[in-house]
Amino acid sequence: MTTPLRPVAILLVEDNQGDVDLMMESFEELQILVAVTVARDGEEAMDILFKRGAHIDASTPDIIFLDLNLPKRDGREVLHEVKTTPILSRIPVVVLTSSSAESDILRAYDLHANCYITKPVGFQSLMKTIQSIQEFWFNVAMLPRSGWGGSL
Amino acid sequence: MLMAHEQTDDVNPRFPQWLPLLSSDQFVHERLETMPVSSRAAYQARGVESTLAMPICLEGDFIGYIEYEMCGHQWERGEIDAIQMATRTIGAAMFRAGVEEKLRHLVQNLERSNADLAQFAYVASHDLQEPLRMVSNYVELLAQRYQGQLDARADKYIGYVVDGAQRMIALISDLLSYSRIGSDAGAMEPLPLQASLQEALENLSERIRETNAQVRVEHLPVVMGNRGQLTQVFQNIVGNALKYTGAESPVVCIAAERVGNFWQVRVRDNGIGIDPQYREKIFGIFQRLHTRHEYPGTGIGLALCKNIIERHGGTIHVESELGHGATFYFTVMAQEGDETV
Repeated sequence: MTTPLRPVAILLVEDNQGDVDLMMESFEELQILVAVTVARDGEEAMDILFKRGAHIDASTPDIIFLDLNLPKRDGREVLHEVKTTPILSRIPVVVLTSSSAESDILRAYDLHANCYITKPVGFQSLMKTIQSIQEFWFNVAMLPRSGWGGSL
Repeated sequence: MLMAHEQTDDVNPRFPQWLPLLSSDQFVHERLETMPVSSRAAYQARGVESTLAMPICLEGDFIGYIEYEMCGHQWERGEIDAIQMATRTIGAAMFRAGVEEKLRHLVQNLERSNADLAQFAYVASHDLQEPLRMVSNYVELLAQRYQGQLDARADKYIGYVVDGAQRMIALISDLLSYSRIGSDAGAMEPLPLQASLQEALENLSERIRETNAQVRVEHLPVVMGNRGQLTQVFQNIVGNALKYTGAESPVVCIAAERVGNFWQVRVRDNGIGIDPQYREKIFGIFQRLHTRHEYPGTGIGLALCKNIIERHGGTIHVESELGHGATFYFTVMAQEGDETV
C-alpha cells in the first residue's frame, strides 16, 4: 500500500457545475492530491480519452468518475466504449450518479463498471464517499505500476 | 336486424307504426293482408306471408328489434313463443357483452391511470432529488465554512434550511421507495420469513442496542413473497416498535399462525399503543399521529407495509389500545403444497 507521490489523475465526466465544484471542495477538504480534468458531456470525455482535437495533450487518467445522464453521448455509451477499447478498458470507472434505480445499477455492471455509487446527499456524506473511494482505489487496490499501458 | 338508433336508409316503412308496441317490449305480428297496400309490395316480392317484429330491450330500454319473415305459411303461436325466447336471450347476451365491454374499458382506464400515477410519483421524486441534493449539499457546506462568521440569526436561518432540506430528502426518498414497490418486478418466491426478519433486525441492530430492546421470535414459516419487500415490512413494523416506546424498554414478539392458505404474522410490542380510532388512518400515506418533535418520521412506513402486503395478496391491520402496546397482523400466502395447519 503506497500513496502515489504524483497527483492522481481523475477524469470527471459531469455536466453539472455544482457537482464539479462540490467534488473539488471535497478533494480540497480531504487534502487529496488530484489532477482533475472535467468533461462536460460524453463526447468530450471520449475526445479526452482518445486525445483527439483540442485534447491532444491530455494524459490518460488513473480513474474515471462517470455520471450516467449526460448531454450528447450519455454515460452508458461512454462506459461501453471505454470498456470495449483495449487501451482504455483497464481504467477503473466509478459510476457516480443520482439514480438508484435497479435497472441502472444492473446496466452499469453489465457494461463492466468497476463500481456504482449513488451521489450522496449532504456534504458530509459526500466527503465520506470520496474518502472511501480514495482509500480503496488509491491505497488498498493494487493498480499496475506501469500505469494503464496503452499509448495512443 | 335493425337497431333503432341506426340511421339507415332502408328502415322498414312499417317501423313508425310498430314503434309504440315495440318500445313497450311487445312484439308485432303482421299478416300481409292486414298491411296497407303500399307496404305489401316489398314483402310480396320475397314471398313473405307474415312478418314478426321482436323487440330487444336492455334494462327496460328499447334498443332495437329483429324482424322475422315467414314464407309458405303464417307465423304460428309456438313459433312466436320460441322466437320471443330466442330474442330475449340475444338481448341478454348483448347486455352482458355491453357490460363486459364497459367493465373492460373501465379496468383499462384504471390500470392506465394507476400506471401513470406510479410513473408520476417515481419521476417526480427522482427528478426532485437532483436539485434538492444541490440545496442540501451547499447549505451544509455553507454551514460548515461560515458558521459563526455571520450573526446568530444567520446561523439559525441556515439551521432551518439544513433541517428543511434533510426532511425533504427523507420524504422524497420514502416516496421513491413507495412508488418503486409497483414498478419493481421483484418476483414472488418461496421465502423463509426468518431470513427476511433477520435482515430487518440486522438493519435495526443499532436501534435495538440503543433501546436495549428484546426481540422474541417464534418459529417462522416459509411463505410466497419478495424478500426485499417483506424485509421492509418487518423493518418498518419492528422499527416502529422501537420508536414509539413507553416507559419500559421495548419487547417485541413475532410469531406466525396458519389461516387457510395464508400465514398470519403477528408483531406485538409494549409501546405507547394506538388510539383505536386511528387504526385505519395510520396506514395512509404521509399520515402521522405525532409531531416531528415528539417522534420524527415521514408517515410513509406503514403505508409502504400496506402496499407491499396487498401486492402480496394479503391484508394488514393493527389491534391496540392507547398505552397498552400494539399488535400488527399481516397475512402472506403460504407456499403451495405446504399443508401445515
